[in-house]
Amino acid sequence: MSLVKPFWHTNNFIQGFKKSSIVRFKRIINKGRFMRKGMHLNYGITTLLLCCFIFFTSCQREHLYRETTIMMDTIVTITVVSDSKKAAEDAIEHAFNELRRLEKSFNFYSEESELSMINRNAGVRPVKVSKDMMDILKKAIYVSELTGGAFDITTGPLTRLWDFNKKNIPDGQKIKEALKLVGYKNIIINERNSTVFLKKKGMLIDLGGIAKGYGADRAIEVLKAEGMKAALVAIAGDIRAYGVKNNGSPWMIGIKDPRARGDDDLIATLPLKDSAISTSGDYERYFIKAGKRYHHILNPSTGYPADSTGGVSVIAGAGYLTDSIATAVFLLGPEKGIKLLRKHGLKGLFITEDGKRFSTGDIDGIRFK
Amino acid sequence: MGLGLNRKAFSLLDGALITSLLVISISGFIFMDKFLPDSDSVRVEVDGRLHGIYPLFEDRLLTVHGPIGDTVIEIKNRSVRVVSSACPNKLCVHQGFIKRGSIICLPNRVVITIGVSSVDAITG
Repeated sequence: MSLVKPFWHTNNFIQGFKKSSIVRFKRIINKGRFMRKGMHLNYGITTLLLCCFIFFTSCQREHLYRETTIMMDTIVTITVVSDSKKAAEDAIEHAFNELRRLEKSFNFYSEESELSMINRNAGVRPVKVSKDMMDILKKAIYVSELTGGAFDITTGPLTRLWDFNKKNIPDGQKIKEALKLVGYKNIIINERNSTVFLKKKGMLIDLGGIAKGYGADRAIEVLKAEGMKAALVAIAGDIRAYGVKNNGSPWMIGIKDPRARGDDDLIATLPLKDSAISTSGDYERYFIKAGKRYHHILNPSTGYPADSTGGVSVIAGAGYLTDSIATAVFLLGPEKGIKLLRKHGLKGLFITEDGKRFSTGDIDGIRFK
Repeated sequence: MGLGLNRKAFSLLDGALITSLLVISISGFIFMDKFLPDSDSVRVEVDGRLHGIYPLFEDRLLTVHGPIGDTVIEIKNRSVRVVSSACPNKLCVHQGFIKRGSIICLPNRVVITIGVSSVDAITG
């Protein structure tokens, strides 16, 4: 009565199994007994567990869910990875609501906004502000210091003068006067009383250069709290990524070609993992008068649009950083801009109008087209 | 120890083993599916010209006009199928729902491709 062992009864084959299974199998083989009391129960349980495992991994397949809305004067797209459609939709809705709430508070153009309340009281009295306002103002001032004033949220008086819809170049004298009101150092923050005071009458804070990136950060926080395993928030070109996609690959971001007309003409693509990217360019909002291009990125020290550098993309850990620093390094130009980025350990890429590239040289996985 | 007992036990044990191996190999297909990229757009070409690109995650029914007649395309639950077609052999209809790849109806010159968008978002 000699039974020929099937190949899967050999020790080598069994090595690949879990330890408990190996022990069990060895016991069976060594003792030459195939059946012992309770053994079929063990196998039954093992098979059942295995089936359950496979059932759950196959049924709870994670999907990408994406929704787009118009907010903050631009297109906001949120993509999440979730195993439940309902959970994904709820999470995205909550993130949108958070952005709506922030927009209401940060809006430069609405008289009802918290920001306008601060601006109206410039030179008059300190204004008690919300936690969100305190947070974004502190971050903005931090970036101003980081960039030596190249980024400044007090350019509101200049923003008022330059109307990019009317395509008018403001009067030089008016620009000079407005410039006197620009200076982030005149924002007085009192954290203990949660108040903000603008020292000079006529000062205006405009959060346009930081609010979108900041919003992307906050939206990601909401999505995380809602249990999303991964998410991508894109508020126009200010993008914040969290986690990896359901197939295990990182979120892929395309950088628009500054010279291209079409929306999908990309100059490069790169993976983004738990960080943010923003691009500042002179090709989004501008007008051309007497052969000169006037774009929306105003230099806080001259009051005029910065010299054209094409576009610059900045990668950092948070959206508020990339949004504001991209604006700052755009103003500084490729040479000084790259230097500044390197100094603070940030990554960036300039693409000039004639297609020249200047980069910090450490952007992982970037591919040029 | 009788042969009868051995044979019985042998078949039971190996049955379990074979079943688990089978289940593992089948699950391989499921995992494969997981590792393949999620496609997210449907590209419809008619007679060599782009008719349109539609998101895969939005259910819709659309009708395109080919040289022979109409082809009705349905996007549902992240899959695409041809509901009806004016072509004689109806191969495209018989292909049913697809989640990736393409459906080509040669007679009516309709090409439906589920495309993988190379990027998730664009900055600039």
